[in-house]
Amino acid sequence: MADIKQLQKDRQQLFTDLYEGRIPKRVPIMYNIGWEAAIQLAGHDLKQAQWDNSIVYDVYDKACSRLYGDLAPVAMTLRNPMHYQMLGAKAIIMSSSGQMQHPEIACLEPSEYDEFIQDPYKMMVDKLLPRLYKALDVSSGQKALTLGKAFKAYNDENVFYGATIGKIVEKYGYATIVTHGFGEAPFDFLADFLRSFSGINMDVRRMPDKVVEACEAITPHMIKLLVHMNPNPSILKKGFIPLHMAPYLNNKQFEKFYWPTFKKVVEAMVEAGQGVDLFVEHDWMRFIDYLADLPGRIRMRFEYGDPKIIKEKLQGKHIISGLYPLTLLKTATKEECIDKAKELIDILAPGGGYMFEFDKSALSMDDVNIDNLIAVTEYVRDHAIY
Amino acid sequence: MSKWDHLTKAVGELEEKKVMKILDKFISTNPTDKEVQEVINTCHKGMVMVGDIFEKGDYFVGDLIFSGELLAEAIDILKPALRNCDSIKKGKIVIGTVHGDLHDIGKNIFKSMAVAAGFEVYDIGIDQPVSAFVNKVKEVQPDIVGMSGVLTLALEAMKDTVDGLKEAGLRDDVKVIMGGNPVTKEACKYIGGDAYTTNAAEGVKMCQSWVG
Amino acid sequence: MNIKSEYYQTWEEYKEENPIVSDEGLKADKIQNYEELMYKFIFALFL
Repeated sequence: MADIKQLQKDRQQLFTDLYEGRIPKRVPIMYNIGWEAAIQLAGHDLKQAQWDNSIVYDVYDKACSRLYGDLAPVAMTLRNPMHYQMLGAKAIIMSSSGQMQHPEIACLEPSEYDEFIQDPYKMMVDKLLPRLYKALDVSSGQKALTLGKAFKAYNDENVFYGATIGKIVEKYGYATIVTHGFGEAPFDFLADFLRSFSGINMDVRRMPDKVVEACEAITPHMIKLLVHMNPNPSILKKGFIPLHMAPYLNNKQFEKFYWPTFKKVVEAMVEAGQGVDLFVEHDWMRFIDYLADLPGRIRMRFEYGDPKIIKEKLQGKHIISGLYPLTLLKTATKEECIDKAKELIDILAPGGGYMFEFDKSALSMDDVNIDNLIAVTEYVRDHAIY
Repeated sequence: MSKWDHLTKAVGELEEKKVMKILDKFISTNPTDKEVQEVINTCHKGMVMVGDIFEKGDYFVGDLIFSGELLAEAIDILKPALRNCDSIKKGKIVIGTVHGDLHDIGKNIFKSMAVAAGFEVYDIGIDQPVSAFVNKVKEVQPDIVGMSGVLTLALEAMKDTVDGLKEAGLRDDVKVIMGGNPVTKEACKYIGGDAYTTNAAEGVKMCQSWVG
Repeated sequence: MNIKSEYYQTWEEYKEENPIVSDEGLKADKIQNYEELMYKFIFALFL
């Protein structure tokens, strides 16, 4: 018991040191497999298991007994189908393989920008929710009943999963990084569920001023979600922002539409002392100088990019992770996989400001060869120092 | 130097208002089928220009999405003016997003560019099981099968699809190209495809080289 | 940066419009937290 407690303390210290600007004893390992992959690893049926929270402990236990991580190496479900089903979701649906996904859908018409800008939250509740969620496109009475039920289901499931994961964390002595908030760059928020990827790319050309205004209208809401939603912001807590649309845009569009309001959100987080965790999806090499310019000490997980340039631009300031190609674990030999880890650590670790993480999380155990996954993470645990 | 160079340029430079003005003016002249087909071909040339600029690195995915929309709008204006819809196609392509994956933006960009390049494209949609690919290939006997996917789980689904074509005795009659974020050289080998790309314009060029 | 919406009220705004049954022992934070939870839930449906 004492050993587990000490293990947990040591692991927690790795992250505390890293986040507070010191060099930890070794390179911390931050990664997880997706909830769907963990279900598969535990031998449950993906289409059934997502509905049944009685299997949560077993799924975590089976994965954690095999995989190494300094944090629990299984992600909490991102898309619990329960409340999506109750709401008749059109934007988050289960594919034929059981994978919850977001097909392209827009709920805001180009002609409706002014109404949205006026009061985004009101329009989301009144008009946009019923367009994305069929079961809310009903009378106001029925809508209230359905929202009430879905809200209760959402909270009950979250509480249950959270409590179960807590037991696992104590059993295996994992470190924890509490999620303080989740939000998006205002431009991404406008794109993802409101205008869609295709729609927003039309809008930046056809109605650029409206796009700018809409992003500005969204900004205080993102700041609220990422800073003010929970008490006691802290650099040791996670304020998570996945970055989506920038690689789709040319440099002028990025400067005009994406960057200004995103920067405002990050600045507000840093000013409040809240840790910022960016998932820099796809390839941001065109914009690396912008990222380097952001204030604070931000955690940036890169999907693609040149590790040497990233290190050169961000070292001493921000914390780098990612860049290890997950799919290599499927197609390469064990030695090749470990060599890749060595290569990245040699470039990114010196001087600190680095933690080990794959470029993306496995959604299915078919994405990886589990022996390679274990070999790489154990290699990093046993050999990776700064 | 052709009389439609300014239209090619307007399409290539994604000048939506200019393109629509040129086409509206053209339609008002009550053109012959031959003239309409010439203008359709010009729009296609403009799309090739878009592909080239994208390959050079001066256009980005957002520009490709916009170009697809621009082409669709142009065709919407021009097609109704055609009395007879005959045109010679370069080749046939069956495309779809593989089972388990619901993403289609990349597939749709590839489709616009392939249509612009003169291919006849049969898009079977998203989250398509192996049987849907096999049945469509049996039905239309394409030159090429294109598989699209964005999630890492798409790779296994692509392998299933190629295996399905093999089992049905169809694999040797087609070229298989795969596209999407997770596709790599190693993945292509594992899946058993002929080519892979994360660049729609490059993918179309590969298809053109196959049909000669 | 504070948000402004017809559908969101701070505790002060709420107090202005609604009679408070009793000031003694009233847990304003607890009540206001439900406003925040609902706001977070609505946004979660768009994230």
